Amino acid sequence: MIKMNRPYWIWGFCVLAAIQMWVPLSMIARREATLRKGTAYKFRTRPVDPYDAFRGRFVRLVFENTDASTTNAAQFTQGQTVYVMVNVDTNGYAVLGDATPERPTQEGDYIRTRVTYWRSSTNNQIRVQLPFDRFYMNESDAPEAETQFRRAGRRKQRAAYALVRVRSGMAVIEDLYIEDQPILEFMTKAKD
Amino acid sequence: MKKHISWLYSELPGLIKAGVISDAYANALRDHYGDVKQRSGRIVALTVCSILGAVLIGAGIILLFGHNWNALSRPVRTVLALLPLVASQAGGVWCLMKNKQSAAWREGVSTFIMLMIGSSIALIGQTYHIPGNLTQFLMVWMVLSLPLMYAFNAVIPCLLYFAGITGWAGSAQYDGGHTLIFWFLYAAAIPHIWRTFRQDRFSIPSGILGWGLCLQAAFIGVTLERVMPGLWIVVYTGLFSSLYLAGAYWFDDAPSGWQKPMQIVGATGVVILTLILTYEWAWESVGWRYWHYGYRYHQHAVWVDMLLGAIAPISAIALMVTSVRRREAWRLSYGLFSVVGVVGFAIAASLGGDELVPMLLCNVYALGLGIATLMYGIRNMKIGTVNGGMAILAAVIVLRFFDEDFSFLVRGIAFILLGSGFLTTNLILVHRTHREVNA
Repeated sequence: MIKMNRPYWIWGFCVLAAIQMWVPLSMIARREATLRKGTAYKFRTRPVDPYDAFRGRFVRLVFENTDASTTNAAQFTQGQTVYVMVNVDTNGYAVLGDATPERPTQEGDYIRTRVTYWRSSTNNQIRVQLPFDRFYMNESDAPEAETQFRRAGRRKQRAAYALVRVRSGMAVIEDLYIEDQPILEFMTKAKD
Repeated sequence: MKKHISWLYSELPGLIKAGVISDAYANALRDHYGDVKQRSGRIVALTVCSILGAVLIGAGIILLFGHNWNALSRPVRTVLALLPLVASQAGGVWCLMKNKQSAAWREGVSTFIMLMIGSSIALIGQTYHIPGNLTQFLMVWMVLSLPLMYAFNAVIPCLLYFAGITGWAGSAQYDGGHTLIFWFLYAAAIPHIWRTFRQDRFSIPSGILGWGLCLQAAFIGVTLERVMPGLWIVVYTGLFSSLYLAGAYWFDDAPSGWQKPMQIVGATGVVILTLILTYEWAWESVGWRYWHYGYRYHQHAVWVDMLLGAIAPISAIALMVTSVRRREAWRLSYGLFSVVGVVGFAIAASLGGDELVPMLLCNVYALGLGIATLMYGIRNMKIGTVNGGMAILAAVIVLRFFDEDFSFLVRGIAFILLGSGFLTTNLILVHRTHREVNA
């Protein structure tokens, strides 16, 4: 270890440990606040099943509509941070509203996200990457959930969606639903 | 050397007792050779076990979290995510308070803290279904782990750090970003490396760090912006030549082969890259005529590529000059690779679409390198070097045979001749060595 006064060195390490703790703690605090105080929206999804060795198995969520309208699509570039308003359609599902490069001042919820590679300047719409694209599950549950979810999607009459809490630009998934039932509950019933 | 001195010291009491040497003579020997740091096998084994233990426990915790227990509530999972990190940090504070100086403690504790930082962030991401962003994850993990190598004077966190920032660079390039920050992250670890090498160039930590750095250098290509196609040839030829020559300059007096990572990685890199560059496809679409544009290519980050493309061959040439001054001109055969790279690139870029000339140049260089290595080995009676030289020659000939449509008969005869050459040269060398030993 570097030669210096040992008590100072120990205090220095304690500061480092505090910083190392602060990063996961701040991640937790912001998401807990969103889950507790955020508004719930239903985002209609279409799942596939990838495998992430480091994080275990999860269900990748592909959303049906990720286009947002703008006043001038040409002002955006790929990878740029945007703020997209979230609205609710007549069926009760979330739809993306206007996208702006600055934080919106008007009333309503919005999501802070990024512009993806595709852009259409013809109808002033941009495609965005929704900041929730995976739902982690038990390694044996995830492939089964995906199968159940895919069946639900194929039959069309069954609604599949992710319940997402939105607050001050942050969006956190609360649960996945098939026919208004949480995915785990739906799977248990499907097994029986 | 240390091994032999240790043996000598262990023999001294017996020799004094038997009256072979006097006390004064034994003391004179001790004064002459100085203190030998006892690095018993037990200490090394303990350090290795401590590192392995930390890595295995860390990996186990990561896998357990990867399993993702649905039965546990979110707050419980959150606490479980942070608990190993807190425990590892408490271990770190204890280690510092008790002033544990042994490598086993320093390496084990610091490695464990580093792994737990990664696992905590990953598990929080899993608990809250945060989208996977490897680039951001590696950046946060590495920045938080950087001070550990300094706090514990440890080697393994430094190696993990270099692997992490290289992974970050690869991931950032894959995402369409640039890697300018890589060089700041790299520079942040230099004082630690400098300190380790200054303490003892040939110590075990320096050796491990040396290997890690040299192998990491071989992956430096992931940081290139690749706006100008083929510039990597200039960078890599210069890099491998420089590594070899710098190793020969600073580490040639190393007591064993494993303490010469720069020479070994440099020479291996020169040989492998030479063989790659003997193909025409390696020189296709090279140079400024094929400058890349688009959102994946950041024009403002090109200067780093340019800088590397200048520094690598210049440092190789400077080291070649020092080799000549030290009357080690035979080393130029490996140093010249940097010049071949620059000349080949200039020709390929200028001619635009004509890859034949640089390809031929590399074939000639490969043959020259093989012959030079072979001659040096024969002159100095080094059977390993002779075989290395012959292997290079054989590789060039065999590769060209696979290129061309030679008949099986011709190929067969050529292979038999090459094999016979190998055996004959080895037999002659062994015979000469025996004769010299007996004489």
